[in-house]
Amino acid sequence: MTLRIFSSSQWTQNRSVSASFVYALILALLVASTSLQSAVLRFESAGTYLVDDMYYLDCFALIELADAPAKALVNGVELNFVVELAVHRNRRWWLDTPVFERRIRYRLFYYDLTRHFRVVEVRTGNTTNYRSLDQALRHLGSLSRYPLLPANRIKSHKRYTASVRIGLDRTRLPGPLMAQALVSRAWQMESEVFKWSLN
Amino acid sequence: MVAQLVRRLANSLLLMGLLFVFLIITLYFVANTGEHLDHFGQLYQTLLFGTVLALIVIGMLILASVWRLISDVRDNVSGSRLTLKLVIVFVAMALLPMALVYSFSVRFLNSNIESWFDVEVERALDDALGLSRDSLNVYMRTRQKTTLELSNRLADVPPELAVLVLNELGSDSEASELTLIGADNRVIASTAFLDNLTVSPNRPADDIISRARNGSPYLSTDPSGDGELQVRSVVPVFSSDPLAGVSVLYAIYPIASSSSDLAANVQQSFRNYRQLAYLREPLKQSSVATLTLAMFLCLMMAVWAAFYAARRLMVPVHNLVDGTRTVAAGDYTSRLSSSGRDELGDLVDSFNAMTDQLERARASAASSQEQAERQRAYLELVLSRISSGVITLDEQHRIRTWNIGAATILQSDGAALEALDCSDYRQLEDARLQQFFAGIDSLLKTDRAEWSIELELSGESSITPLICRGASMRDEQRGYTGHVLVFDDISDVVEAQRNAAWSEVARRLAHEIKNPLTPIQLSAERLQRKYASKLQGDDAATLQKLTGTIVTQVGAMKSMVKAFAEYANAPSMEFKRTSINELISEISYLYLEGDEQNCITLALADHIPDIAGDANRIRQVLHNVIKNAFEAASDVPHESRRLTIATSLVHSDNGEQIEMRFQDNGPGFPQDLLDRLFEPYVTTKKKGTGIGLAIVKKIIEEHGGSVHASNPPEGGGLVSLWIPVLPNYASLHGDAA
Repeated sequence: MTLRIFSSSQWTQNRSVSASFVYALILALLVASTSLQSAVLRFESAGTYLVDDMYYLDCFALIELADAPAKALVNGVELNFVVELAVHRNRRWWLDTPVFERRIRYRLFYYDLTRHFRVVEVRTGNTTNYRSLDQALRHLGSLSRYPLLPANRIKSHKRYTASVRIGLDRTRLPGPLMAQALVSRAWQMESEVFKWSLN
Repeated sequence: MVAQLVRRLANSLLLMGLLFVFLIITLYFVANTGEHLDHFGQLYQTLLFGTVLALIVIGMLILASVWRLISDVRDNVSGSRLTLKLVIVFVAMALLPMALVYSFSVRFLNSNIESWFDVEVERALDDALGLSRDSLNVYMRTRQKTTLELSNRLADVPPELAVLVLNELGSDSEASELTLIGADNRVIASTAFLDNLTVSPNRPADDIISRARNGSPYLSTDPSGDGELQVRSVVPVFSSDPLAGVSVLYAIYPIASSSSDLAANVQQSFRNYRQLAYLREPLKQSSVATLTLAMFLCLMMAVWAAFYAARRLMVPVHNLVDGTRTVAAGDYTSRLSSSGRDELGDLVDSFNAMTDQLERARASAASSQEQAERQRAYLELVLSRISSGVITLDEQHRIRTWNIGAATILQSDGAALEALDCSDYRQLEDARLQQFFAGIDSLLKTDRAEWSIELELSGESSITPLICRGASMRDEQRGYTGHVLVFDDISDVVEAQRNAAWSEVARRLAHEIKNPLTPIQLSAERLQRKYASKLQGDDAATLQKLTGTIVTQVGAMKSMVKAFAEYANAPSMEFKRTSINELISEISYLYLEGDEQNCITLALADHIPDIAGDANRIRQVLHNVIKNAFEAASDVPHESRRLTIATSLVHSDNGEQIEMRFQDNGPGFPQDLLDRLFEPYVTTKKKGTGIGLAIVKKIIEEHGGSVHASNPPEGGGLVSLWIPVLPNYASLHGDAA
């Protein structure tokens, strides 16, 4: 079965997940040797503000890829990032209940012909080209004046907490890399949840 | 509890089958869902951990099975070594081809993956990408010149006319969008062509605009949002008026679709190949790892299957071993469950058939043994109930069997007879046994098939006559196998013969002597009458004395003859209900006067039952015994004579009997006469006829009783009489009451 997959030149569409599947097992035993450089992924600032009965979001994340993801990127591997936005209503004696949840998915890949790094927002299809990886990452982790939710969904006498988190979606990596990404710190790209009070 | 659960899990075909099926499906799913990785990716971690968990569980169960098998081998559990061998063989059989396939597959995978990558292909793709870039560069430079020309024509155009001029220039050029940005960084005019007018026109980044104003035009080819390529050019627009500042012209030129598609194809192919080359090593490693996992999984399946198959194969063997042990322990009821139609199943069926036959044979043997035992018990019962003594001897003349009669006749307990060696009779302590076996020893050593001998065993106070018949036993195989001895106590026969002889003697004496006595007496009396008056003096006295002596002696002889006649011609008995106590009281009353007055002491038991007897004969018995006792004590002064008469009810083997004891304080009976004291003409007295006690014995025996004389330790003589009570004493006693 493995041979059938590898015999296709379009193997990326027919990715050999089985290979990565086992690769994870072996690499799990060799974790120490897999992590040479850790990635940096954290939110440096985030905040909301109310304009015209609409809460808007500004946030900025610092993203630095480790060597392995960066090298994979310029070698044709597409990276998928997910920004998770959420607003929870605080409850004293119970778990906070979500009021608003949204996942913004970005694709980041390298366009060899024009030497551009392209960032595509999956839902809208908006595409932005960058000459450098830093620019692309800066754009990827930044939201400016993003309409979060209308003010009427927020009750003034309740307390709300907004949160934002960004991470690499490792499940969408090519098969051989998926297992490696599960165990390697270089591919452990998930920010802490950045929280702040909405009102 | 836990060990049992682990054992059951490890032996559970369902559980292990599910685990293996899960792992196989996972592998199959992983291998065949590469095209749907977006969906599979979400399950990747779950499947991964589930697989690891399943592998750990299977591994632990297999380890538990291995440990159990090793423990069984150490404990020498039946079948464990064969199970171990089977497991080793099965695993080896699976491991060898797996290792072969594995090594070839790894080698094939590595070479196959390497064969995908070709330097020429890589160079061709690089060249194609370079060619595409060069082509785009040429197109870009051309459009750069066009933009510069347009900027020159816009140099001194007033802002209010900029839109018109821009439209005019745009229509002459191939630009899809033209935007003029003033020195104040605001859009002065913007035109769009090719139906891609946007309300909010795109504008380059501020840094690009700044650099263009400073004389560094911007030129680039960018993919648009829909994937089409376009050329973007930013150039400065210089005005002749130095105070007017520098504007910027931003132009976008589309690239033809055909060119753009070709370039995109080149880009996609290059990217795929680059990615493939980049993932080459991980791909090889993961492929090998996949194979390793598959082989590992197969190995685990093989090991477990080996355990399972070995156990299944060994179940009938285990059952057979257990069944054999059970049969060896004597339990033939257990049956093994059939294990199929293979040879082991045939073996189990044969075992069950064998056990059936064994059980039937044992039941038959038990039945035969029981029958033999019953016959033996019956024979023993018969032998124990006959009065004759029966002893069987083996070929070494040791006693094999004996009956109660033998022990009774020989007056020995059973233990003395047990395995007694008859040929070694001289070592016996029992005098009667010694006499018995000494008497037959010579006969035992002869070859006579049958013989008979009469013996007399003398004891301390009696002599027991025996008649012993012997027969040798022989069988065809072993020849002589021993003797069987049958002997009887013939005391009664001898006694009866003796009594008959004495009766005959007495009758003849009475008949022959009685007749001449009367003429002798009459003649003597006539002599005295006729010649007494004719003689004088001493002659007359002498005659008187002689005739007196004749008459007296004749009288004595008449008395003796009369006694003999009484002994020989006993009158017929009239049995009536008789009270012994009353008779004793009556007889003893006769002795209240005379020399023996106050000598008799009665110790009669109260409420003793009556007997069936002839009162007159019993009176004679009592009179004879009492008279005999006083005569025996004739040397004792009158005042010192004592006769104690006691009665009691005793229980013996012959039933209830009345015992009468007459104990005097005389000199006792002579020891040598004790055995024959009750025989006729046996007396110790000068004037006795010796008939008194013989009559006593005769009358008592006619009443079914017995007599015995002895000398008690305290002195004197003791005569004991026993007469059985009435068989229906209870009813008679009730009537009497």
